[in-house]
Amino acid sequence: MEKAIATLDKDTTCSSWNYSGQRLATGSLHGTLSVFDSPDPASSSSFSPTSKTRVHDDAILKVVWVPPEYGDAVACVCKDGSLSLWEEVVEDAQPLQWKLCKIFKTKSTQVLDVQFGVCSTSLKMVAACSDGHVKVYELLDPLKLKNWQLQAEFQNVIDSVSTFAKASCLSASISWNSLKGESQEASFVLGFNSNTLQLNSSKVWEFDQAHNRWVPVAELALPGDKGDQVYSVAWAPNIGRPYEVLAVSTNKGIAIWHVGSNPDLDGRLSVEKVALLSGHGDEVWQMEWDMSGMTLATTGSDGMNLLMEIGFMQSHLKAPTSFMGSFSFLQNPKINPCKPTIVFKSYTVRKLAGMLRRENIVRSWLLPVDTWPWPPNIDSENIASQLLSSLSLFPYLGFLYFMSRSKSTPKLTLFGFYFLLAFVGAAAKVHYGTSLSNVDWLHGGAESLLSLTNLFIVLGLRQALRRVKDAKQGTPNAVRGIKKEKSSI
Amino acid sequence: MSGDTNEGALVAYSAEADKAVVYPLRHGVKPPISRLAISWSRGNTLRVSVLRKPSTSGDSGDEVGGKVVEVKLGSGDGDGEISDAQWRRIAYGSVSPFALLQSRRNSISTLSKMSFNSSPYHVEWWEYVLEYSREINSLLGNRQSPPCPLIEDPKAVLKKMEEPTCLKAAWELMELFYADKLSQAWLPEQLVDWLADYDSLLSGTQMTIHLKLVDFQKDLVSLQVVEDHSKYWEVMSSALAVGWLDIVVKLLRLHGSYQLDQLGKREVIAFEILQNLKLDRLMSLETENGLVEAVAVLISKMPRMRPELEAGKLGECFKAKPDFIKAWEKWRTQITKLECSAFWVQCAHHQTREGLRNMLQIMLGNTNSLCTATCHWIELYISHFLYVRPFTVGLESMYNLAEKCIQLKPVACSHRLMGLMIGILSENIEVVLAECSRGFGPWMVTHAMELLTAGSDQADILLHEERNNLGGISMEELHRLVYAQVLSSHALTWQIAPIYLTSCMKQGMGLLEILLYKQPVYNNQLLLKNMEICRLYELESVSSNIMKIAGMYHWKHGKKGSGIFWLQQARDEVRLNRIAQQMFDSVGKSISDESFRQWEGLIQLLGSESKAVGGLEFLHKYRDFKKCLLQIHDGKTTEAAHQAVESLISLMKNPSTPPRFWLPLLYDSLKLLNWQERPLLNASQTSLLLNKLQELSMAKLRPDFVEADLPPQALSFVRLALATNLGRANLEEQ
Amino acid sequence: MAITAVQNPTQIHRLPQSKYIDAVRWLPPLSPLSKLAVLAVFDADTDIPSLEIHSLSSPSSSPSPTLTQHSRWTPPSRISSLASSSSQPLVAASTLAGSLHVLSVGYDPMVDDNGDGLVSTMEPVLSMDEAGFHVGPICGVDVMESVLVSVGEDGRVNLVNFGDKGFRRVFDGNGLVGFNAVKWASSSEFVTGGYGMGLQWWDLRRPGGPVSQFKANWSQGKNGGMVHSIDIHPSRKHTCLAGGSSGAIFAWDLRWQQQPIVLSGVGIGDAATPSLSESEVWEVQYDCYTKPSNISSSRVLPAMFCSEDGILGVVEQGEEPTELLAEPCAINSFDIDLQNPSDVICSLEWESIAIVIRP
Repeated sequence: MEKAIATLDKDTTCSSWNYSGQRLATGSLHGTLSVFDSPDPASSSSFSPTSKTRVHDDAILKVVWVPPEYGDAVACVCKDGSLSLWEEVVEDAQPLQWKLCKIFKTKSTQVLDVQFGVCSTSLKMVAACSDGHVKVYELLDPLKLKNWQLQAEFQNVIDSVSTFAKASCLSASISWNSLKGESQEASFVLGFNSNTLQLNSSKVWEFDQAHNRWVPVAELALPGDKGDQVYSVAWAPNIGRPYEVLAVSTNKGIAIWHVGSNPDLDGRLSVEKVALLSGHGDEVWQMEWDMSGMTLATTGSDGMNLLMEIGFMQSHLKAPTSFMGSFSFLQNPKINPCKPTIVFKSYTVRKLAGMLRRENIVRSWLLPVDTWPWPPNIDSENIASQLLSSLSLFPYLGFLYFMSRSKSTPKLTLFGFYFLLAFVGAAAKVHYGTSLSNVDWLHGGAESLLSLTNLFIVLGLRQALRRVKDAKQGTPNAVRGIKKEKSSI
Repeated sequence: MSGDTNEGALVAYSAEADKAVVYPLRHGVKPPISRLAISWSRGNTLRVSVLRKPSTSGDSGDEVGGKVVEVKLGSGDGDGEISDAQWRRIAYGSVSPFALLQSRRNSISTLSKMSFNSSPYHVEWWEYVLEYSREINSLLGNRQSPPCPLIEDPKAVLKKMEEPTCLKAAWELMELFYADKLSQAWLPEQLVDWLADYDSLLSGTQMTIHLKLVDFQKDLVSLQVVEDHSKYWEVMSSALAVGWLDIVVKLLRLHGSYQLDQLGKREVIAFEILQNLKLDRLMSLETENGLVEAVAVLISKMPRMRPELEAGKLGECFKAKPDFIKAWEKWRTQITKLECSAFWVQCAHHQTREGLRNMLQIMLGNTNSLCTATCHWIELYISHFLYVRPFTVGLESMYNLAEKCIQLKPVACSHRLMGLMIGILSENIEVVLAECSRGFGPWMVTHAMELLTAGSDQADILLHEERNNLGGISMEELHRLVYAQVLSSHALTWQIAPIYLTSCMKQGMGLLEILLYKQPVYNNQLLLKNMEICRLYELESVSSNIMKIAGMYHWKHGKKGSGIFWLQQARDEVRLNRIAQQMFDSVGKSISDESFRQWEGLIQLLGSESKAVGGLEFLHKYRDFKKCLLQIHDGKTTEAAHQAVESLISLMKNPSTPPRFWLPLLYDSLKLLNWQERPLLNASQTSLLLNKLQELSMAKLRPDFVEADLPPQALSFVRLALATNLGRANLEEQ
Repeated sequence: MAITAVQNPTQIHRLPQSKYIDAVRWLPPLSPLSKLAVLAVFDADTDIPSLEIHSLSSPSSSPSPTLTQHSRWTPPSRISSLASSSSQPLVAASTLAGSLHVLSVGYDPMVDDNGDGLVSTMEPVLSMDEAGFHVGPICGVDVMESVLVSVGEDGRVNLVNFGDKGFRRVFDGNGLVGFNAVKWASSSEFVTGGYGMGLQWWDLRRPGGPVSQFKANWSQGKNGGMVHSIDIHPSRKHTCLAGGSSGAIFAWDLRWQQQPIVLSGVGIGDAATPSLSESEVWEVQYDCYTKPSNISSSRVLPAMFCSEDGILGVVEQGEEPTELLAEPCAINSFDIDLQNPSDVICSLEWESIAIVIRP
């Protein structure tokens, strides 16, 4: 089930993989940055160190990769609070090596966390400092990581008038919203673990292009627990939901938040806390969403530091339960891995059967007909609109490709399909004045679901989920999601 | 639809559903462990860095500081009955049938929506599905037995077959119940065949008839007088119970009474016995022979409700039900006659008598003897179809029967095939899906979905209806997404994930874009393969982004040529202009021949694509210009100077020369402008340059103006030089 | 897929390998009976690359031929390009790590005849992996008599002679240019191809740079691409055949310098040229099996190609292209058997080998 792919050096303090999972950067207690590579491209069985660079005298606390559009570079946060950018580059004469691009260092404060966001025009870097200040830098020259410009500096508070002079923060966590297209504004979520309560609660900051400033658009905390220390935040990638999903871990547990996409009158986004998971006993170190934003993996300790675990959680679950599964480091004979899965199954089967009997949706069954004798009396608009309403163009393209490959389909059929496609293209232009390839609502509102375990774990939890819904007043979020989708269409 | 109680009867219910599943993770790092770091790799793979607590004492230098462990989550099937390579082969193979079926569905749905239902070439949808199912089935391995030896061993009861897989068994079961509409009429017989093929699979969990036979086959060689052994009769009745007639008859032929050759005669006797004639003249031995033969004849004459039998299988086929019923009645009456005939008393050999009568009981459908003869509940179930209720058609009350069988033969731990079977019989789509997914993994669910929907409209509605609690996507889409993610966990299979993703209306493309973005760009061939996928699904933005990444990678890693190439492909004006600046400087600075040769190739490369270059292709002319200047620097030759002027003018005329380079160009050519002997530029040329200069000073006011790094008074120098030159030129022209 | 075989008399056999095949080449036969092919494979489960010699035999029992592995050799890194000498039993392989290896194929005297002919073995005779040979992957390699030429993304062109150790640098592009393919024209001339659909003609007797360069400026809005493969017919050294991006297959005749003869491709040449493929053409070779329709020296001889969108076809100047194989997956490389040119071996993306035997 598991296999070791790399062996880390002595006194390694932190590690980080690049965007494609092909390179590993680790930092050590003595300020050495080592980079691991696999022998061949697209092979990921064994990684060995290819370069070691002395970055700093002090220990490296955090290594963060710069987005690949700007080369292979990392940002190192060191113990003394300095932040340095290093990139791998060949310069005229010298061979390939890691070179220092820039050092950010201030006497008074220390950098706690740094994250990069690729915006439509430029690269942005957000650094959270120990005095509760947030600094946003912008890269001027896309080819050189030297020239940074401080774009904004603010504190993590909703009302910007009040500033807190003597704030001291232990840790901070930043997570960018991965942009989908130029139109969307850059935004990130930020939370502190500090003695100043107002700073702590994690807030979503969005760049206001018009006024060229950063504005807080949402606060992810219920009135009661605004002051909770935030250990870690994670913004889920969105593959087509009408709203964003964020995970925030505080001392109360891991909260899953839904953040609406379109703001209200005073520019705030609608937020809803959909789940609170009592995951790890003590502190949560790290949270990571998978590529589909379906599964959240977390690490943490349970205080006694005996049991370290990685938990999994599905973004849509509103259940009071904690984890789908978890890897334990405690070789405990009592733990029996196979049994619960069976339990899941039986549980699900029963509930599901009951649940689905209540649903009765009428749907017209499409009468099957053969396609290839093309009727002369069909107008293109009709076909196209039909096709569009069934939104079946994307698979269509794919299938055409495959049909054209496989000899088993008669040429006439193929012709038929292409013929149809041509019409759709045309009609799409007519109807929407745009090519279908970038009609956005095609992948419209949907909430995603788990991938790693099988379906029924979720289905099983739907019962619990219902319980929660009943207990909780206010419309369930999914319904609103659907409304949104309609309006957008 | 079956009620909850039945469900309860089938599956053990337990309330502790939402307890975490805990897997121990073996990482082999010595404690104390200070920290874990996680990172999702491609698809479902999670990478865990296990960091050891830094040792304060520096003496122990050899130990490792931690390990990185890769964990694959929720991919593949339950047990490792199928190797990774085999799984990949199945994944590859199932792409084309799936794609073909989907495209057929699309076109059909389109046409039918256009009220175009009456096609002259009317093909039932399930026929397409069946074709699809057959193709998939062939992928899962075909069970042809090796060529049988010429001299067949009479004692070899069981044929050697290659080991079947649960996956194939499950698929055939689904095909049987959902896709294959033609053979619905003789479903029971189909089940009999299915069990005959796959009974061995059930042997893993508990005793089966197949296992019995295998054991008996072992000690058969050693046995002398088989009929004396109770096991012989036991095995035969078992085989008979599940309708493996050929095996039974083969075993019967081993009966001792066949040793003495009176074959000719015995048939006569058997006939007479069957006719129940009065023949007390017979000796007991002959009676015995006769009885054995009679039973053998009865068995091999068993009427069966099915279109045809493959070679070697016994029984008489009937397509139409009425004929079948008639024949069945006749057959039964013969059995009953034989059962209550007087010959049994004359049969001396005790085991033979009892064994034969027991077999008759089985054929008469005596529940008790059936129950004792069979081991697994499914075997009992099948035997019921054969002997108790032979006229069953379709799924009517099949489920209740199954329950009874299970009550009679309770299962210790349920086999995944049986789970699936129960799901199907209970006509509960969710259970079927659940069992597929649990027992056979995402591949099975994704592809079996087509069979289910073909099976019934109810299933179709169920699977295509969009559910809020699944995030507005249908079950079908959900499972395709899950499967796509499993595919993308492997470097070789991720390329077929798009096929499944594009069949997901809502979230497929979103996932595909992320998937493409996460692919490494270091290898050109892989990169081009990704580009092809982007081209196919019209993901221009994604592809340009990927090429941008590739371009930057090459540029930074000393492969400037490929870097620029990819940036051009990505049409990244911003970066290309920056690069143009850099190259302009470097070409300008280093005007030694050597460095020129270096740039030669690159500039050649740039020359070819005038459109995508982004203000780089003027470097050609600039290079020529610089060459001329160089010659002038060496020895002042007037024709060189003239060439230089020519290229300067052409540069300035050329629209592709970015304005920000005008001033540096002019500044470079100051030497030319105030040339000693005679003005090199005529009036018109000079005025052209002056105009450019004017434009430049206007451009200074615009915000997007880029200041060239030149001495501040450069502009005035140039202006002065031009002015004087103009003056001289005018003078000369008069 | 069986249908394909039915429709045309050409017989097609697909042999799943459960390993990714990077490149494939026929070997000149060591004995009249044997039919050997060398495969550059990559085991995805263990991440181990290897070079394997298989003998192709068609036993009477099974309808399809079978590949039986004779010997294997493990290179330091994954193999990027493979070339087999037509004259002597030699295999030249270049790796992604930038090393170059030459192996001689012979019979193992120890192992005697075991039914299907002798067992062939591989002997590494030369391996060039010293620092500064190439930086990064070697993209193309070709062998002529006893001299190897190798080109890479780093823009270096190196010659390696079997006899003497070390290598000779012909050109160093310092990464400002990159080459993807190389082919010998004669013992002293070779052609390279790379980015921007460019071809360069080199002559060892005139060092310092390419003797002549071909810069295609295509008519339609064609924004570049790269050359993946080059072939030169021994009888017509003046024309070289090249295949590259977006289905482009063209011939460059030294006598008509700047005008390419476009055989296939979208957006290049005149729109009339029919093209089977629109994606990357991974490999092109002159097809000595297809008889040219007219044998004037001006006409380009028929050429076979394989492409990313799964087409194996034959194109000829002014003729309709013919399709030999249409796969749902990419065809990454192929080779025509020089001994009996009706046989073609291809490596498919989906971890399998296809053998095409033309009537």
